[in-house]
Formats: sequence, structure tokens, C-alpha cells
Amino acid sequence: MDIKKLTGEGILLFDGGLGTMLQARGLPVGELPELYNMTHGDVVAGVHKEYAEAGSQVVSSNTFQSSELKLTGEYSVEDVVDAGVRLARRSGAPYVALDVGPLGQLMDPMGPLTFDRAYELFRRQMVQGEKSGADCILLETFSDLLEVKAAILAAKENTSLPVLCSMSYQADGRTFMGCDPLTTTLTIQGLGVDALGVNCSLGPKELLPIVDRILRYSRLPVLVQANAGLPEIVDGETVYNITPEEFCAHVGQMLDLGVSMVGGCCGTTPEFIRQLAALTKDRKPVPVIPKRVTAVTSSTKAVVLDRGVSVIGERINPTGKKKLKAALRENDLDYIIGEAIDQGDAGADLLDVNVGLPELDEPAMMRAVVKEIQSVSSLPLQIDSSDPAAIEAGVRCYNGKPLINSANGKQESMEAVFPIAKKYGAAVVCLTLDEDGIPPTAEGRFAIAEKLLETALSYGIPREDVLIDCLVLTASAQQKQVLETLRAIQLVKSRLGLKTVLGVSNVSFGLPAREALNATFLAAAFGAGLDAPILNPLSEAYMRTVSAFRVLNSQDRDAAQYIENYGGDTVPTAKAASTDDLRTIILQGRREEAAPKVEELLASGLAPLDIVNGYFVPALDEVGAGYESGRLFLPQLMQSAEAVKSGFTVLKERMEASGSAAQDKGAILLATVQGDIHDIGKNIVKMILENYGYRIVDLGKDVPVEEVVETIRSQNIKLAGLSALMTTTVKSMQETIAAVREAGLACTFWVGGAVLNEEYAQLVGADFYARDAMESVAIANRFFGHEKQ
Amino acid sequence: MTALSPRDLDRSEILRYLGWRGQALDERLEAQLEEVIELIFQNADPRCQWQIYPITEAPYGISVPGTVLTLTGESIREHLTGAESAALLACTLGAGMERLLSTLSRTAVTKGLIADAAATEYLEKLCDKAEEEIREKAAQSGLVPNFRFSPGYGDLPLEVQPALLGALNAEKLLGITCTERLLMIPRKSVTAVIGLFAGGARHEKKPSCEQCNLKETCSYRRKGLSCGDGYQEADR
Repeated sequence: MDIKKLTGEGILLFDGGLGTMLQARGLPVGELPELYNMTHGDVVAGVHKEYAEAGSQVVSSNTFQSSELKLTGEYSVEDVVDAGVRLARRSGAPYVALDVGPLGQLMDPMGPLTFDRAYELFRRQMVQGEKSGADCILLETFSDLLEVKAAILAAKENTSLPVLCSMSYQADGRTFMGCDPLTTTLTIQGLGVDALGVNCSLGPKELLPIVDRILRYSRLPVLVQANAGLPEIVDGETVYNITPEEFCAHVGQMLDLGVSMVGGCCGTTPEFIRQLAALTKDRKPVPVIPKRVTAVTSSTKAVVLDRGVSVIGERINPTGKKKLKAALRENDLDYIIGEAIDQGDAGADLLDVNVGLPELDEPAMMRAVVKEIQSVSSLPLQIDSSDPAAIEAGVRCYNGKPLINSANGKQESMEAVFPIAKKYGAAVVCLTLDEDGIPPTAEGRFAIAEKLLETALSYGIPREDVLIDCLVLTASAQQKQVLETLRAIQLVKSRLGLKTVLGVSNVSFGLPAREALNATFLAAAFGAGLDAPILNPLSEAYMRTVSAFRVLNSQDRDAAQYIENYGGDTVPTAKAASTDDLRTIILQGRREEAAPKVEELLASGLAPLDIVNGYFVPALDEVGAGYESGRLFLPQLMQSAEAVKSGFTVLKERMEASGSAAQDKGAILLATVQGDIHDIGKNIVKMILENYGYRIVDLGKDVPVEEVVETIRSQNIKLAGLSALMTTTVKSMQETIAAVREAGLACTFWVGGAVLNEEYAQLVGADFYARDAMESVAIANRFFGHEKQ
Repeated sequence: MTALSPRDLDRSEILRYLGWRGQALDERLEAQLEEVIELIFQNADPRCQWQIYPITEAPYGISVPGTVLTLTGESIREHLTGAESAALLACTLGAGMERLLSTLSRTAVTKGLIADAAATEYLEKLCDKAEEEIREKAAQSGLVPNFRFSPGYGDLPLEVQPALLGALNAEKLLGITCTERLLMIPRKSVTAVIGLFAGGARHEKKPSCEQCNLKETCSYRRKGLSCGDGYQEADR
């Protein structure tokens, strides 16, 4: 089926609602409509036929929920899909679309569905769909960009069918997962689909502004299948209450705007299609020239570089960063997400992610880190690696449209990186260097930029997705080159019209007062036309330059942000330590005062261990006793624990700097068991145990049994705490403990969680039960105390 | 349905979910509570769906004709004895709330814990609003509702959750999913069954724990809470 040819000639007409039609013919509410393919094939075929007779050129198969997650009964995915496609074929319509909907589970980390599992579930349906003779694949009613990306990749990599991709938006203009039409359009159109659009949840009137927004940015044909108005409940029945005439009036407006494929969704009937057929007959699609913007997206947010200067945070890159290197080696993802959050709070627009360390499996680490950062930050990411395999691992599971850093003018680099950018619809930063190194002149670098652009275009990468990095050399070693970089930016901007990226900090290497040099260079680079500096957003000097430039280039309208940031402000001074003693600060849970106070005590000559034993432990014990007696309640205990935690961070840095080992009273594994995603209780226990000097190996939530067994084995763990919050996941606890015992590992377990009690703890085979975090501390103290004797 | 605002949330309920039993509160904690409530409202995407269905006796409980739902167990039979019909209800605070709570639970635990409790109270108030709508609707037919009864209470098993969500088309209309372990995600989601009675309900309010035959083993009670509050089993 050549969709492009078809839509070039006329408006392509799809069918209308299927589930609602089947319900009107006796399908019970809540029953899988797909089962009717097997039990009531004639009813399904009858509906398809009515649509074909009404004028539908494309009939969608009754396979919306035909994954193995939903088909848990006697019929296989293959049976249901095959029957579904065949029944649609019987309608006599020219084309049959294999209809594929969301899987009904949320994607990891919000839900239990991993990217690979989702891909596999989709693949199974699609391979059968093609085998059964479908002409195209219609992905519809999606609300999660990552899930739909898994579906698109499964379709593109396992079938040769055209793919149409349609999302569902709510009345606030966002999908259930929070994606707006701009973010969705920018992300999906890069993934190689043949058309995109919207369906379900709203009527055509409510969809109009959303469709308008999509049309402004879409390079692809746009499909709309609206509901027959907003669903209303009348006498306990869901009804859709606009007439076919009203429906067609709104769809007519959409056609005028440039929509080229139409149909209906819930509540629409063959009569709607009949009237749509009359409306679309002999009409040609209205040509639309979409806006071409350079943009990257996260799961919920688009950053458009054409709107002014944007900051790429550089801190998640181990080069020259001891702490990050250590965190990567120890798989301390909490440290990394902390860096992500801090940079976002400081005003970064994108985050660079580089996890390259020679001893690490970089692709695996990239994948893990991308997922973790995306679970806590809505900023788009720049996937940064010199290893194409790591780049592909990062962009494949990335939720949104990423920026790749980088390709360069070497043939080998372009051949490795450009196909990845093309396949995953990523934007790509291109460095102006080639086999002969970095050219000394601006003209030399411009020539490489030109070559990079031409080659990228030849791979099918859109022009706006090519960004150029003209490269900075150090002013200390190659002083004359600094201005060449700025001239190169001017050439690239004026002659190629491409966006530019630049890592600015390098310019000051080897010189004193680096911030001054960097900030001045940054201002000069903005003047030359730099769009996106890569810098440390925690540096006040750089961010002031950025904020100031945003006033001067009119990006910060009325200087509102600038005034908010700096109005009435003087140069910030370091926070003075409180005059209260550390004990009081901890008891009152004044977290932000704890770190300066600890600094002060260290400066006065106290050793870290004196602070732990003289302040932290007694204060924690006091708070703990207050909690146990009921004088304090949990948030108060935790505020104190957080104060100690921030004090501990200072001590750890000091101890690491002086080369002395951090305090380690014993290693403890913590995990929320498989199937359960509640981790706050576990995280409370973790924080308090850490405060008491234990080293926590935190496996997170929804942890597979094997991972617990493997970690206990490989790290020789002797004490482990498991958390589960539902009766349905308590059995995972039992399975986990049994598997560890089965493996012959001597590990003591304690368990906790809302539905647990002493009896339950015994039942699952645990050694101890802890009612709360303080009991967990008591268990750990007892356990490791015994060991010392 | 008119939207809820931060002042609709009962602060003392939020504190009660956090285990508060009248301890002295300091300004810091009170300020944090207000800050968190603001945050909750910024991230919530509240949605409700309810439908009134006829009900019939089935061998193991109550079935809902026209749907695939059968509510099993003695507790629900007790809850619906004498009812003319039943309202099925699902409410959620949406994916943005899920994202907020899981982020906070990793990056700011105290705030996360308070946010969790505040979201629970928000959801409870949202359910109250929906229940009010049901009450008005039922009154038109001269019926009176009793109270919300959710899977996991008494002996009504969590296993009915998928069919209950299905009967409300909750996945498509509200974005509520249910895992194989029967956990609803977004976690701040509630389903419930309300009986509608002619000539007055037997119990218009939830009976006290003292009258409940599960009072000895109930994990809500252990925490000083009771069932019917707006949370899933895991939040007990």
C-alpha cells in the first residue's frame, strides 16, 4: 500500500468506532472485543462491511488489544490477529489496517513494562498481522511516547508495512502521560512513520486546536479520528451525542487546515462515515508547509532552540570528575540523578549524559542512566559518547527526541553516527574536525561543517537536526585560535543557517580565574551567534551571563526572569553557619543549616569521627527515642535524619579528600520486591541506616528475584531487608528469600511494609520483622554487634 | 464537577495519615505541609468516572449484568443486600502525580512522605465529590446511597479490580492501569462500589470498626486508620 500516493490524490477515509458498535450488538462492557473475532466472527465482519459500504477505504482490524498481556485465555495472539485481519478483509474495503493499541500497562519506571518487553509484545502482533495480509499498521490511542516508540520500532524492524501513528489527547491538550502535541509530533515524525495524528477521547470540536498545532509542525500526512463528541453518562450508559452533521462540519474545518486522513472513533457509526465520504469525495488535501524548527524533547516537554539561547548542563560527564567516576563505578545512580536535579534547578535546558569509563560496559550504563534521569527530570538529554554502540543504546530507549553528541568530519564517524540519528529521529551535534584534525582557520572549520551537513542530508537527516560545534581551543596554548572559533560560528550561522553548540569551559584551561575568562568568552560566543553552550549551570557567573544575554536578545520578555532572579540582589555570600549547636539543628531538623555547621566544626579541628559519635549518633538516638515514645511522629524523625544526611555528605567529602576510608559498619542490601513499586518506606529505612554508618546496597523497586540472589552472592551480603506493600506482592518476598536459601547463601533477612506483621514475616521465611525504620536500625545493630564478638 | 482547591484538604487528616497523634508541630513542618499541598495541586490531573448498574445475586456474590463484573464474597453481599442498583466509581489523580511522588520518594524523602499523605487526602476528597454526584443522581430515582466499598476491604478480593476497571472503561477514560499484581497505576487511584437503596440505606455511613468482623486482623486499624479512606491497599 502506498499511502503517500493515495493521500497525494485525495483524502483517505478510514472507518468509525468498533468497540462501541460491538457493544451495541451485545458485547458486554469490560469484555475484550477481540475475543469476538473467535466467537462472533460474523458480528465483527458485519460491522466492517457496514463501514466498507459506507465508503471507508481503510478498515481497521478488531485487534486493538491483541497482545499476550490481554489474551490470557484459550486463544493465542496469532489466532486472534489472524482472524481479525481476515474478518476486516471480508469487508471488501480496499485496504485493511492492522489496528494496534497500547498494552494496558505503564512503562518502566512508572509501571512494570520494560522497553524490550513492550517491543516483543508488539512484534508478535505485527509479524502475524503482516503474515495475515494487513496493508498497513495503525497505532492508535497511545498516550506514552516511549510505548509508542517501542511499537514503531517493532513495526519498522520486523515488517515492511507502512506505519500510521495516532495519539489520544485529553481536554487539557495533553495525553494521560502529559505529552503535548508539539512534543509528540517532533518525536514521532523522526521515527520513520508514514503518517501521524490523533484519535479518541474528544470530539472533533475539542480536537481542533490540537490538530491545528500538529499541522503546524508535522512534515507527514495528518490523520484524525475523533469521537462522536465528549462521552456523557445518561442513565448509566455512556453516550456520545453529536450528530454526523456536526461531526462533519468540524472535520471540514480540519480538512481546510490540511488534514488528509479522516475517520471516526468511539461512538461514530457507518452513518458518520457515509457523510464523511460525501464530504471528502473529490477533495484534494490542502498543502501545508510545516514550520521547521531545531528542537529536542523529553517525555513531556519540547525545547525549541529557535526560541533563543539554551543551556546544556555538562556535569554528568566523568572527565575530570572524581566523584562522578566513583558513582559510576559503584553504580550509585542516586548521585547521578542528584546531579540531574541540581542542574535543572539551576536553569539548565538540556542535560549532557556521558558515562564513558574504560572499565564500564558503556552501552549498558548509558541505558540505565538515561532511564534513571528520565524518571526524575523532564529535561531533554544529550546522549554523549565516542562509542556508537553506547549512543545507540542511549537513544533507542530514550523517551523523546534526543540530541546526539557527536559525529565529526571523519568518514568513519559520519558512517557510524548518522544512520543512528536518522533511524531514531535524533538531532546530532557535529564537530568541525576530520582526519587532519582541527583546522586552524575559521574557513577550514566551516568547510568541514559544510561537508557534515551535506553528508547528513544524504542520510535523510533533516537540515534542522544538524547542529555544529566549532570547537574551542585553550587560550593559554593557542591564543590566536580563540577568535577563529568565534568567526567559524559566524560563518556557520550566516551561510548555513544551522544551530551551533559549544563547550565553553575549555577556553580557560591552564589559566587562573577561569570563571571570568569563561563568562567573557561565553558572552562573546553569544554575540557571534552561539545557540547552545555546554557549561556548568551551577556556576553563578555563567548563568548570569546567560540570563543577561536573554534580556539583550529579547528572549526574556520584559526582563521578567532577570528581575525575578536578580532584583534587589547583591552578590550572594556564603551562608553563615547557625549559632545553634549541631545537636539542636539536628533535633529540629533544620537540614540546610547542618552542612555549614559541620564545616565549621571541622574547621575548628574536630575529626569526622568525633562529629559522628559526638553529635550525629546521640542526636539520632534522642530523636529515635522520641519517636518510639510517641513524642515525635514520622516526618519529624525524618527531618532530623535528613539533617544528619546532609551533614554526612560534608564528612564523606572530607574523608575522601584526606584519603581515609569512609565509615562502614557493615553492608546491607535493601530492595522493594518484584511486582511492587512502592519504595518510599524502603528509602526511609535506607536513609536512617546510612545515618548510623551502614553501607546500603540499594537495588531499588520491582527487583527481580535473581537480581537479589546475584547481588547477595557477588557482594557477599550477610543482612538484607525486603519491603512489600501489598498482599499480592508479599509472595514475591517469600520467593526471593526461598531463592537465596536455595542458592545456599547464608544471609539474614528482615522484612517490612504496610501489610506485614510478625506472623506474615515468619510465613515468608524472614528472620525478623521490623515495624518501622528505628526497628530496622535495632536489627542491624544487633546483627553486626553479634558479628563483632 | 467543580474543582477542588488546596483549602478543601483537611490538614489534620493528612497529619493523621502520617501517624500524627497530636504531637506538637513546629513552624517548619507546617510550612512544608502547605508547600507540599501547593505542589500536589500543581501536579494533579484529577479524573472520575462513575456509572449506575443494575445488580443481581450470583452464586458467589453479586454480578453486574451487561458487564463482565462479578463482585465476590460475603462482605460485598452484605454491602449490597437490599440495594436496587449499584454505582461503580473510579477516581485518579493521574500520571503527573505518580511522577511527582516517585521522584520525591527518591530525591526528598520527607517531602515525598508528606506529599503521599496529602495526595491521599486529595483523592479522598475527590471521591467525596463524585459520591455527592451519585447521591444527587440517585435521589432523582428516589434512591439513597450507602458508602464506598473497595476491592481489598473485607473479603472482596483485589482480583475483581480488572473487571471493575473494565466496566468503567477506566483505562481509556481515566488512564488507570492495573498490574498483574493487581496494583493500580497511577497509584493514587481508587475504585469503589456504592449500593443504592429505596426507602433509605441500611447503613448510610460506614459502620464503625467495632462492628466489623475483621477488626482483629485489619491492617488499616493497626495504623489507626480505617477502610473507606481514599487509598489503595498498599497505603495502609
